[in-house]
Amino acid sequence: MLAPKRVKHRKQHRPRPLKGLSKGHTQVYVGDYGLMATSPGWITARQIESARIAITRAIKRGGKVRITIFPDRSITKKPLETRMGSGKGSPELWVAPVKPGRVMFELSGVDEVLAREAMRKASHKLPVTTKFVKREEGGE
Amino acid sequence: MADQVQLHAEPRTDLGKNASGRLRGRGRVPAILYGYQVEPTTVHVDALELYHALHTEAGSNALIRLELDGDTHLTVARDHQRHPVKGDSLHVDFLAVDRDSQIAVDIPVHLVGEEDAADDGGVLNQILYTVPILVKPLDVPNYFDLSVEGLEIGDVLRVEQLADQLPEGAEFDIDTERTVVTINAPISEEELEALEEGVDAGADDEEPEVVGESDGEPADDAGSGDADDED
Repeated sequence: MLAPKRVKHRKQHRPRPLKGLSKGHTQVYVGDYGLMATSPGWITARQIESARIAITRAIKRGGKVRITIFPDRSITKKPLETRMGSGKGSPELWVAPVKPGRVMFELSGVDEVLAREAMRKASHKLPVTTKFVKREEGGE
Repeated sequence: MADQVQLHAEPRTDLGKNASGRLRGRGRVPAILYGYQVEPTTVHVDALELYHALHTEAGSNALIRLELDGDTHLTVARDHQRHPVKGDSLHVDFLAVDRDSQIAVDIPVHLVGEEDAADDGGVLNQILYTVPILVKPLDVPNYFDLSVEGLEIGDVLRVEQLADQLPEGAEFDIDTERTVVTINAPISEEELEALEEGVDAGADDEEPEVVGESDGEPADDAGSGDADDED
C-alpha cells in the first residue's frame, strides 16, 4: 500500500476540515480519462489500493493506470477502552486529503466504454462522490 | 488554418472579486485584453458566446476577432481559468496578436488508425498530446495527424515525423527528438496477477523511517510526547 518512506515527524496534527476546491491537478494531464472527486474527503491508503485493483481487474492487460494522489497525512488513534489523556495515540493509517475538483486516477490505452466501467467500479471503493472526466482537446 | 470567430466584448469598470462574481451571475465572464498595440483593458464577454468560440475545431487556438468600442482586435485566448468541478469559465485573457509576427501555440496531436495499431498485442502509449510550435496567427493549424497504423511493439514516433504538416515559416518550439507515441509490450500474466492481488493488508504495519531518529537522536515530536505523559 502507499505510504511515505521517510517522515520528519511520526505524528501530525489532525487535518482541519476540508474547505474549498482543489487547487492542483484539476484536469486529466497524463492519461485519456480520469476520476474526479466532487466532494471533499480523506482517502485512506487501503481505499486507494482497493480502487486501483478494481480498475486493474476491469481493464486487464490493456491500459495504464496512474494514481495522482498520495496518502501523506498520518492519522493517530487511541486503543479501545483507554481513558483520555496520556499523550497522543499511535499512527494507525495514512490518508490523502482530497478536495472537490481533484483528479485522483488517470487511465490511458483503453476505449471510453471500458474506462467508464473501470472508473465506476473504482468509485464504489472511495468515500467521496466522483465523476468521470476526459482529457480536453488542446488544453480546453 | 485556425478558425476565426467573432466575439463581442464590453468594457468593465467595476473590478474586484465581488463585481466579478456579480458579472458571472449575469452570464458574463470577466476578461482582460492586452498585447499588440493595445493598452491593457478589462472587459467582459458573454459566457455562452465564449464557450462556442473556444469549442470550434481549432479548440483553444481559435483566432478571436474581439469587438470592443467599435474596434476589432485579432486575439487568441490565453490562461483560461475555469471552475474545477463545474467547468464554467471564470476568467480569460485575450492576447492581441500581430498577424505578421510568430506566436507560441500548442497544437493537439490526433492519432489516426488507433484501432489498427499494435496488432501484435502491444499497448499504445501517447506521451505528447500537444506539440508547441511558433507560427504566424493566421497559419495556426487546428491539429496534427499522426498515423499509428501498423506499428509494432517497440516502435517509437517522434516530433520530427510531424514536420511535413508544419505550415510554411513555422518551427517547432520543442526538441524534435521528443517521443510522441510508443508501443509498449503488454504486461505478462504473472505481472497482471500480482497487480490484481494487490499488497498484503499487513504490509502497512511497517512504520516509515523518521528523519533524525536513525542517528540515535530522538525526533522533535518524540520529546513533546514525553512531556504530555507527565501531565
